[in-house]
Amino acid sequence: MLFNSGEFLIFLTVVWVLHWWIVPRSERWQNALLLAASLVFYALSDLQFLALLLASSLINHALALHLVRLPEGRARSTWFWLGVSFNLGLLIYFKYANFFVEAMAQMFASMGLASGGFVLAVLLPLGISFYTFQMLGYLINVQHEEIDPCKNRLNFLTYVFFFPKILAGPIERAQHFLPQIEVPRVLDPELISDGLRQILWGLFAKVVIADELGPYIDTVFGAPDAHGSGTILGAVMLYIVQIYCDFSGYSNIALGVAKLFGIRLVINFAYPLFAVDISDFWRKWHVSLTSWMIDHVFTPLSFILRDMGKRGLVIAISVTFFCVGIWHGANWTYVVFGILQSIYFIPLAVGAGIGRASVNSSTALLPAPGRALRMLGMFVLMSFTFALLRAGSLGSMANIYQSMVINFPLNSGKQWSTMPLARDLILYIIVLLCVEWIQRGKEHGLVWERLRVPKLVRFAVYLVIAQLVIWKSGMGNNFIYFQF
Amino acid sequence: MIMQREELISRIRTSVSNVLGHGNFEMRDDLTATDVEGWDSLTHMSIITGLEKEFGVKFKLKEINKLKNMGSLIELIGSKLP
Repeated sequence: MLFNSGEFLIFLTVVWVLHWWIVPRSERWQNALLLAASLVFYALSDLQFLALLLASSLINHALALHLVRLPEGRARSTWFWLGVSFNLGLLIYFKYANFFVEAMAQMFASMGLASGGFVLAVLLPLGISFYTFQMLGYLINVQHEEIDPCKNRLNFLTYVFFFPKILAGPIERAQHFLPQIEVPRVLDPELISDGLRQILWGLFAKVVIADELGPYIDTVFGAPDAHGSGTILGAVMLYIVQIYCDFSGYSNIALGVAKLFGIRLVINFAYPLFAVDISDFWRKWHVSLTSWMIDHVFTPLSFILRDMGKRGLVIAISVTFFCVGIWHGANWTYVVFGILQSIYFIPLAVGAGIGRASVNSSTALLPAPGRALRMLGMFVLMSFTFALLRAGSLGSMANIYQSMVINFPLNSGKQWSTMPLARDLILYIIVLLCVEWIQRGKEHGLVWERLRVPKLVRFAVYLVIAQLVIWKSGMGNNFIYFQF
Repeated sequence: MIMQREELISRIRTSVSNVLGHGNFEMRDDLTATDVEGWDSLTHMSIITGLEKEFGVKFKLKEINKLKNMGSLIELIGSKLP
C-alpha cells in the first residue's frame, strides 16, 4: 500500500480515528492497535513475507533477553554473533543470492563450463534492508549494554513493524522509539497540525516533482543515443533531484504520519542538495543510514585501526562506503557508487577541510559566493555519481556519459536540447529549492515558526499544494527506495 | 600520585585542541562533540588516540560508545590512571 494512494488515506483515517477516539487511551491499547494496523499494512503490501518477518522479530526479541541473562564471556559472545549471522544471513539470502548465482553462472560460462542452467529467483521482502539494520542495531546496542532489552513483546513488535517506517525507514533506534510508546500518547493538536503540514510537503515533493520527473528521466536514460548532450546532462542532473524528492518526500510523509499518532521518528534528510562538501552531504542525506553506518561500521573499524593513523582512517572510510553502496543492492553500479564516495572522502580524511561549518548554521538569505560555488560543485559531483543508482548497469552508465560527449552539437549535428522539460515542472523545482533554502534550519518546508505569514496566506498555500497533489496524482507511483 | 582533576582537564583540553587545530571550546562536564567545531566522526578517533598517548592508557570500544559528554570522558580517563 503506497502512501500516495487513496487506499492509504482511508486506512490512515480509520486507524487514526480508532487510535484517538475508540480504543482506551492507555499505551497497551494504543500499541496493540498500532501493531494490528502495521501488520495489516505490511500484509497488504507484501503478504508472503509477513510470517517470516514476524518470526524473525520474535527471535530477535528472545535473543536480546537471553543475551543479558548471560555473564560477559564466550557464551554471550557466541549468542550475539549467532544473532548477527541470523539477521545478516536473511539479508544476504534475500538481497544478494540472485546476484551471486548469476555471477557464478557468468564465470562458468566465460570459462566454457556449463552452469547447469541453475537460476535462482529469490523475491525481495519489502523493507528487508531497513528492517535488518534496525534489528542488528538493536542487538549490538543490547550486547554493548547501551540499552536494556525490551521486555514487553507488544512494545517490541510495535517498534519493529510501526507502519510509517516499515517499508523504507527511517532506520529507528530502539532508544529513541521505545520510550515514546512506553507511555500513553496524549492528543497534541500542535503536533498533529505539524504532521499534516509535513505530509503535505512530502506529497508535494513526491507527487508533483519526483513522479513528474520520472518519465522524462526514464526516456533519456532508456535511449541516451537519441538525445542531445544538453538533454542527457539535464537528465543526469535531474535524477538526483528526483531521487531526493522521492525519498525525502517519503520520509516527510512517514514522519508526518507518525506525528499523527504522537510519535516522532528520527529526521532522515537535512537539505543535502545544499551541502558544501562530501562530509556535509552525508550528514544530510539518509541520515538514519549514515549514522547507523558510522556507529556500527566506521567507529569500530577506525577504533581497531587507530594505531595506523590516516591510513587506518582511509581504510575505515572505504569499508563503510562500500557497505553503504551494497546496502542499496547487489549490482556493480552500487559497488562503484560506494567506492566513489570513499574516494571523495579521502582529501578530508588526510587532513584538509577538517573543521567545516555547515551551511544550515547560517541564516543568511543568500549564500556567500564561495559557499555557493562549493554547493554547486557538490551538486554536480553528486549528480554524476547518483546517476549510477539509476543506470542499472555499468555499461548503461558508460553509454550515457559517452552519448553526452558524442552527441555534442559540434560533433554530431544533433541539437543541444532534444527534449525540453515542462515549464510548470521547472517552476515547481525552483519553488521547492527556494522554500527549502529558506527553511533549511527547520524540519520541513512548511514550518511557519519565526515567519510572519498571515493565516489566510498559509491556508491558501495549503490549498494550492493540495490541489496540485490531487491534480498530479492518480498514477500512485512507487517509491524509488522500496527497491533497496 | 593521584592527578588533580584540574590538571587532568587541562591536559585533555590541550590534547583535543592539538587534533582539532583550535581551542574554541569551554571544558564543561556537559560539553558534547556536537558543541565543538570540527569534532565529528572523522576526527573523533584521532582525538581518542591522542588521549591514549597523552595519558598512556588504552580504551575499550564499549567504553568509547558509552561516552555521553566531556564529564564522562574525564571520569573514564581518571578511572584508568593509577
